[in-house]
Amino acid sequence: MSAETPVELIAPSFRLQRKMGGPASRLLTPEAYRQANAALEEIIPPIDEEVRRLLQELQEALQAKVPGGRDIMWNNAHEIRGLAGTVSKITLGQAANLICHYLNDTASDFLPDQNVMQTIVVVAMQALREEADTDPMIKVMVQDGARAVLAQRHREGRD
Amino acid sequence: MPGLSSLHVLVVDDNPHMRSIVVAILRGVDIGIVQEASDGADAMEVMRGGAPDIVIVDLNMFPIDGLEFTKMIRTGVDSPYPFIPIIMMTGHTERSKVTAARDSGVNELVAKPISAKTLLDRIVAVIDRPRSFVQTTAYTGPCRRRGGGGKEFAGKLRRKSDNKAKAEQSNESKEETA
Repeated sequence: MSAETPVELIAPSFRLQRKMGGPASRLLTPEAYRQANAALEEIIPPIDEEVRRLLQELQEALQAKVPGGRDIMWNNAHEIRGLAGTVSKITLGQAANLICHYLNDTASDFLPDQNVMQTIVVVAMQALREEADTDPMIKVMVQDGARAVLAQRHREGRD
Repeated sequence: MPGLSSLHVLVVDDNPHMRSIVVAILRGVDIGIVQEASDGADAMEVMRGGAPDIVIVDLNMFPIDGLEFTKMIRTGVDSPYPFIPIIMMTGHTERSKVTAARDSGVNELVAKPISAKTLLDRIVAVIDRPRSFVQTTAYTGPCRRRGGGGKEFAGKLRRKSDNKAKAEQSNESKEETA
C-alpha cells in the first residue's frame, strides 16, 4: 500500500489513570452509577419548563411562516427528543421524534403543514403530564400523529 | 488515592438543560471540577484558563457546532490542548453523522438520550483504553482503527491510496492464473 501523506503516530497516554491513581473502571462502582442516576432524577422538574419553552418557541415559528422557521422547529424538536429520552419521558420523545421525522429532508424555507404540526404539538404538550407514559389515550394520540405525518409526507411526495 | 475527585471535565453545550443533566451525572460521581461552556468560543476561553482532563461536547450547537469545535481543538494553531480526550454527544445516529464525528477527531461518541451509564462508560473508555494519536495533513485525532490495529485485516481496500495496491494484487492473481 502506498502512503499519500506522512503519518505521525503518538503512543496512547495513560496520564489520566496516573492522575487518578488507577483505572476508572475500578472507581466507577455500581454504587457510583446509582449516585449518578439519583443526581439525574433530582433535576427532572426544570426540564419540563424547558420543554414548554421549546414547544412555545416552535409554535411561534410555525405561525410566523418565515424562512428559517423550519430550522427553529427542527432544532427545538430535536432538543426535546434528547431531553425527553434522558429523563425517560417516552411518549414526549416519540412526539418530538414525529416532528423531526416530518421536517427531515426539507430545506430551511420549507413551510410545514400547520394542522399536522399543531396536532403533534398538542400530543407533546399532553405527553408532559406525569402519567403520560401509562395513559392509553396518549398512546393513541401518538399513533394518530404518526399516521398524519406519514400521510402528509406522502402528499408532499417525500415518502 | 486521588480518584475521580482529581478529574477536571469541561461540558460544552448550548442547551443549558442538557448541560445541567451532564453536570448532574458528573457531580453525582464526585468528579472534582466540572466546568460549563455554552459554545465553542466560550469553551476555548475556559480552556485557556486551565487544562480540563476531558471535554464533553454536543454535536448540534450554534454558531459553532461540535464538529467544528473538535477540529479547532485538534488542529487550531492557537489550540491549547490538541490531544485532549473529547466525548461527543449527539442525537444524530445516522452513519454519515457518526462518520463525520469520528473524522473530526473525537475519542468517543454518546448517543442521546444519554443515561448515567452510557456517559460514564465513555469516560471509562477514554481513561482506561486510550488510543494512539494520529497526525497527518488530512486528519488529526485518535487512531480510528479499533482493536488490533488492522494487522489481521483481510477485507476490501477502501482508501484512495490503496488503488495502486489493488492493481498490484489484481496483476499478481492474473499471473497466478496464467
